[in-house]
Parts: sequence; structure tokens; C-alpha cells
Amino acid sequence: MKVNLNRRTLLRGAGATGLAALAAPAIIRPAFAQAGELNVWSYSGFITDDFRQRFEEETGIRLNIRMVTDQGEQFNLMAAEEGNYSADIVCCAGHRFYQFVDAGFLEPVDMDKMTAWDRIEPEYAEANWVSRNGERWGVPLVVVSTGLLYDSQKFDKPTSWDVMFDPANAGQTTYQIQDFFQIAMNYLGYDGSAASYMDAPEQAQEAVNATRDFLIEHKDKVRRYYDAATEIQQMFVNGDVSLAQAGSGPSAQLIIDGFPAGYTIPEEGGLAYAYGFNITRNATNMDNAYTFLNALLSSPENGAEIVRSTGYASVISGTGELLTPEERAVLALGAEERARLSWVDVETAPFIFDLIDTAAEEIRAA
Amino acid sequence: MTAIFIWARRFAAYRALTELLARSPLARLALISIIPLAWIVLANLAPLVQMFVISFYQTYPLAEGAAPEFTTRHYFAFFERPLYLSAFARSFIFATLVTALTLAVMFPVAYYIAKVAPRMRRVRLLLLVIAPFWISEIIRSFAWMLMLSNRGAVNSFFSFLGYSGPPFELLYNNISLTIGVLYLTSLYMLLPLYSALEKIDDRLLEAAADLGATGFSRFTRIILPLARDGILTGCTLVFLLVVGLYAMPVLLGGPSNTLFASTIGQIFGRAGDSWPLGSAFSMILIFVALAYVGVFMAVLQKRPGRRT
Repeated sequence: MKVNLNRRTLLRGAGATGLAALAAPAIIRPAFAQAGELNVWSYSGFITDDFRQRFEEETGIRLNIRMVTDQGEQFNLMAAEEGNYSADIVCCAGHRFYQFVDAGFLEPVDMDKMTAWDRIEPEYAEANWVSRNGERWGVPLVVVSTGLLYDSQKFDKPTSWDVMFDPANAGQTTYQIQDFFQIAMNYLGYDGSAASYMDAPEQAQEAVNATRDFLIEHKDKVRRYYDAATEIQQMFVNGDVSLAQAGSGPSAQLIIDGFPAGYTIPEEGGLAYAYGFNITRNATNMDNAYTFLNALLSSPENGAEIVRSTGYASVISGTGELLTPEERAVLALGAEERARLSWVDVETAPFIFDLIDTAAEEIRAA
Repeated sequence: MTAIFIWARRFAAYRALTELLARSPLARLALISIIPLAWIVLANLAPLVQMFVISFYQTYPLAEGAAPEFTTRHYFAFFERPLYLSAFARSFIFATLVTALTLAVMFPVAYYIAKVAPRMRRVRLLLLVIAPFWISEIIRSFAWMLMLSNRGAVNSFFSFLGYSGPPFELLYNNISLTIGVLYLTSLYMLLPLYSALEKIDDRLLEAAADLGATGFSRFTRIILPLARDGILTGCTLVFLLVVGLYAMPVLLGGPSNTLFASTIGQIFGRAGDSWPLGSAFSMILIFVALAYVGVFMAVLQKRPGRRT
């Protein structure tokens, strides 16, 4: 066959190549849908190496895990994929999952397929941070508290968040702005949960503005605003900070590793929330996703492994019995401290987090 | 190799292609440039165009089946909050200072390698400077963190010398950020400077010296003017790199060193429909930075009138 190649055919060929490039996502997408695979976005330590090995050997399903570090990162990645999600399972925080639900990113849980649902501790299985619009949108996995981590060689157990704003501690503190903001609101006497502001958005804005201005005023006390939990451990170990608003997980790990630190919930209170796994809308490997979630919940051994790798408390029934007394001591808070924790309100979260996210940008930019 | 070409001539498509290339210079040009052009368009221009379009969307991501509505409000939002302007100004001031500092630090280095070091050693010296750049920016940032933290190498060294006071706070502030960024940008300044200085004819400098020109006079009247293109290229590269820098300020900077790129990153990182705002701010940063560099180049490229 003789091909008459001239300028026109060359241009046509280039055009066809361009179209092929544009169509690439549609061609690539089915590649995610291989029968023996499952694509998971997860925080570090939520899927342990031991569990992964057992799961892959028992089911023949290969786990493709992408590590993520925050909710915004996942949300934006999913937004960019415009419905053709490369993940079958993502990892949402209990107080942020409403954003994923409202954006249409998630698939409601089919309870008929969730055979291991009853392995979740009852108080967490029925919590409002897995339900929205009458559906369950995910499987809870770990529970996190947010409190005060302190260097026990420099401080006796602090009883108030005052220490974070004490001029004597300038340059020794760190916090994650969004996570600390509601605590700071409570500290200043506002309603951090925003439940009382639901019908008064002006009041909410005033409370957020006042808290923002307070945190800007005390910016000189902050050594650094952190984003990922591991950064706190690094800053403590390097001696750069000695006080931090921190999650229970990284705090517990630091203490278990022998670092001279303590973790407490000061009298003005701390926050509690959960992380879970959620199935993406029209997930390519839907059946594998349910196989994975059921396998994960099925044994308290999995829960104990997650506790040891993250420092967070597991929601899987029977996990506590598999932990050593030392591990239980570090992970457990006293009754008085537990009483100071307030769960992030899922109903008010959409309202208050919109204001807090904007305030956080302003604090950083100031 | 020849055998492959002979074998390929069995195919009509290959023969047609070679014939076309033989008779048409335009086809040859197209063949040579199609891959770089495709790369520039697809990898560089397309995301920018997409970002430009999104910056005018009322909201993004769009709800399923919804048509986009357009607005310019995200551009005006930049002027509504002084805090955005301060981060923006901070970025430009920081980038300008770092560019000047990098030039001041790297010019002697480039001059030494290009003019003073024996010719045989120049390649080795250049390799020595380039070698750290085989490691990623992030890893180099972590290396600086290990050096500068309260229990890091620098503070440990002072303790070793007998200093017993509180540790020097070298990390998460202007010191660490400037050191890290200077280290990052040094190569981008060095190579254009080296290239320009290396081309200066040594005989010019010798002749000037023979005619009584002082070292300062030779530097200002011969070396600087002849190195101008290298300075211009180096400063442009460094400035554009620094003004949009994201990772290193996040890792090495402190709460008062937030640059505008980090502000944009925060906006994009928000879980919600904040992409149009982030895109608008990115466009503002790109256009203002290019205009700033354009003015800088126009001023420096202006050649003085010839003396008669």
C-alpha cells in the first residue's frame, strides 16, 4: 500500500494524536478496574503491612495504597478527577465527610454487603459522623482526641490552654490552625461547636473574627504552624517546640517511644473526631471495596495493629484486650479529661468550617 | 544502523515520510519541533489556560450536569483583604532580596571558576557545585532542618565549644528560609554567570591593566557590562523561581514568613469550591511577576548611547 504523505495528512495525523491524548483518561480509567485490585487513599498507619499481607494472601486482591495527609488534598484530587475516581476507597475525617458527601464524591454504604458492621463498637457504629441524609457514608476506623502535648521535662502537667499564649513560652508552641481554632474559640468563651450560632451567622462571624485576631496577636508565641501530625513529633524530638495542640495519635506514639512528654485535655476542653474509610461514587472495584472493609473490621487484631502504628484508638470491638497495660495507659484518658472532650458537631461543621478555613488563611498570611 | 533504514524502506509509510521530508523544509521543521511543541502546549500551556478559565468560574468543581457561570469577583477578592496584599508584597520583596543576595554570593564563585581556577579544574569545580542538585529540594530542606534545629548540628557545635545558654533559634524563621532558598537558587545564578564570564576575553582585562585601569575600574567597566546578559538571565531565573516558591518556605519558614504561593496553596488545599479563587490569585501572581521581570529586563537591557 502506498501512503501519500503530504502536509495535510501530516497535520491530520498530528490532530489524531492530539485527540488520542485528550481521550487518554478514558482509555486509562479501565486500567484501574482490574478484578484483583483495590485502590485506596489512606493516612499513614491505617493499613498496616501485616494486615495488607494477610489480606492480599487470603483474597488475592492487591492493594494499591496512596498515602494522603489531609482532607483538602483528597477533596481536591477527587474534584480534579471529575467523577472518574482513581480511588475506590478514600479516608475521610468524621467532621469533614459531609463535604465529600455534598460534593457527590461518595457512595452510600450498602449495609447488606457490610457483613462485619456489628464488629464496630456500638457507640461508634451509630454515631452521627457516619450518617447524613438518612444514609451511612463510611466505615469508622479510629477515634482521635485533640489536646495539649507538652515536654514533661519543661512543664508540669498544664491545666489550661493559657500556656500556649504565655509570653514566657514564646517561640515554643505549635498548632494546626484549623484544628486549634475551635479550641481557641472555647478558650475565649465563644461556642467552638457553633451550635448556638446556627440561626445567627453574624454572631458566628464575630466569634471567628475575634478568635482570628487573638491568634494573630499571639503569633509571636508560635514557632511554626504544622500540617501533618508527624511534624509535631519531629519538632519535639529536635527540641524546637515544647507545647503543641496535637492529636492523641502522634502524642501517644511519642510517649510510647520514650520521649519525655505528656498529653492532657486542659480545662477549657479539647475536641474528638474520627477517621474512617469511605467508598467513592461508582467505585470501579466496588465488590473488592466491601471485601476489604469487612476484612478490616473482622478481627480485633487488625484494630490493635492500627493502634500501635497510629496511636489512635480503634473502633473495632475487643481491640483494647489485645493491648499491653503500658499501651492502654498511654492511650486512655482519665474520666475527667474524657469529660472535657466535645465531639465535632457534624451538623454545624459545614457552617463553621467555611468561616474557619478563611480565617486560617488570614492568620497564615498576617 | 544502516540495515534498519534499508529494512524500513520496505514500508510505504516510511518511504512516503522520507520523500516528504526530502522535498519540504516545512515538514522537516514540523517533524523536529512537533515533540517539543506538543510538550510545551500540553504540559505547560494547557494547565495554565485551564487555570485561567477556572479563575472566571463562579464555583468549581461544578455540580454534576451544571453549566459554569462566569464572574470576575475572584480577582477583586485579592484587593478586598489587606492580608492577601501583604503576603503578595512580602513575596516580591523576599524574591528581590534573595535574587540580589544570590547574585552577590554567586558572582565571586562564578568568577573564580571561570577566570581564576586553572582550566583543568573548572569542570570539577562546576560538578562540585552541581552535585547537591542531584538531590531533591525536599530532601535538601530536611537536611537544613537537621542542621538548624535546636538540637541540630549548628547548635550542637556551639555546645561543643562550651556555649551553655539557650539554643539559637535558627529554624522556622527568616534565617533558615534565606539560607535554604539561597542554596536552592545558587545553581540557577551560577550557570548563566559562568557562561557569560567565561566568554570574556582575558586579553581585554590584561590590556586594561596595562593601560593603568584599577581592579575596580576593570570590574565596573569591562567585567560587569560584558557579564550583563548572564546577570540578567540569572536574576530572571532566580526571581521567578523564588516568587512562586512553595515547598521550601512551608518546610523552613515560620509563621511570619508566609509567601503568597503558600497562601495560594492554602486556598487550593481547602476542601470546597475554592479553586476559582486560587486560580485567580495564581494568575495575578504570574502576570505581575512577569511584568516585574519585564521591567527589570527592559531597564538592564537598555544599552548606553555610543560615545563618539
